[in-house]
Amino acid sequence: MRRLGATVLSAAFLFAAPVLMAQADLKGKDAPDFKVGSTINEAQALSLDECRGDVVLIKYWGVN
Amino acid sequence: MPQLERLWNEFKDKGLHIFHVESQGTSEDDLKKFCRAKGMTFPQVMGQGSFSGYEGGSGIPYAFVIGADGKVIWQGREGYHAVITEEMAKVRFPGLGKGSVAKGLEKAAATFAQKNYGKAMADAQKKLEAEKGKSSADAAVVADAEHIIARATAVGERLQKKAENAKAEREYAIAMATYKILEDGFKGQPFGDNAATALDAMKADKEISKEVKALQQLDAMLAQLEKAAADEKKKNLKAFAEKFKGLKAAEKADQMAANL
Repeated sequence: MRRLGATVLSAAFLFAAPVLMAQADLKGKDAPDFKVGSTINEAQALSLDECRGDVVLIKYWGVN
Repeated sequence: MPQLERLWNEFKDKGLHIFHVESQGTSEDDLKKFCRAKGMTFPQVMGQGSFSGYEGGSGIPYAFVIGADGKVIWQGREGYHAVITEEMAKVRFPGLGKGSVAKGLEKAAATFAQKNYGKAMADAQKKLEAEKGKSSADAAVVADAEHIIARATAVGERLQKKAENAKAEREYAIAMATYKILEDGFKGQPFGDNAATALDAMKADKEISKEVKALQQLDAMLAQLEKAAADEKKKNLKAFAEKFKGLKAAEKADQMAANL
């Protein structure tokens, strides 16, 4: 049982590791530059430079 | 999503920027329809290419919050509302693109933040000329004065383009409201003078008045039908479209009926 548990944990780590590595850990760091071509609904700024001094939310989402 | 819309409405004029990145490859048309149906008015970015460095990694939804000091202050799935609400208090000059300015330019920056762009430009210009007249000009003052002028000019250009596009698309209420912002924000400047002239011409145009009245009637009808069943709404929208055939309001009513 212990062996099975260890195998499951190892497998979980193997699968989880690439996902965690792909995720940017940016908290506390200077925000990486970004630039937006165009948007649906008007944006008052289209790059990090234009947003300096303001607060920015970048959110990934999906309609489904 | 209603929560995010509320956050946007509360802070969009106080220095909050939202970039909502749809990550499932939804087409632009479908996304527009979705936003209309859900009443989402904050900016939507298609694809992820523009945000390299901000990888969500483990799926959606996933968000990053950049604070007023330019650092990432939060990342995760849920819980950004409280973080943003707290951080907004640190924004000194919303929309300026700078959290602080050189000594002597604070007033111009604050005037900009109050959307009095024309006065901010004039104040910054005055400071710039005074500084350049000195034997050793302070580079920071020169740079920040030029920044304020450039930023106000960019706002004027953006609003002018928005008003012209809205007028071309017969979105007259939006065009007139935008010209009014330009007129008020750039008093005594070419942007303001041109906007005042354009606004007067629109007010005097009978065809435009007809279009604006029809759009107002459509809005009033929609408000009355807010709680009505879809069939009832559809019937009324189609009748409206027939009555106002040829006008922009009729096109809108037709489109709304088709989306129900």
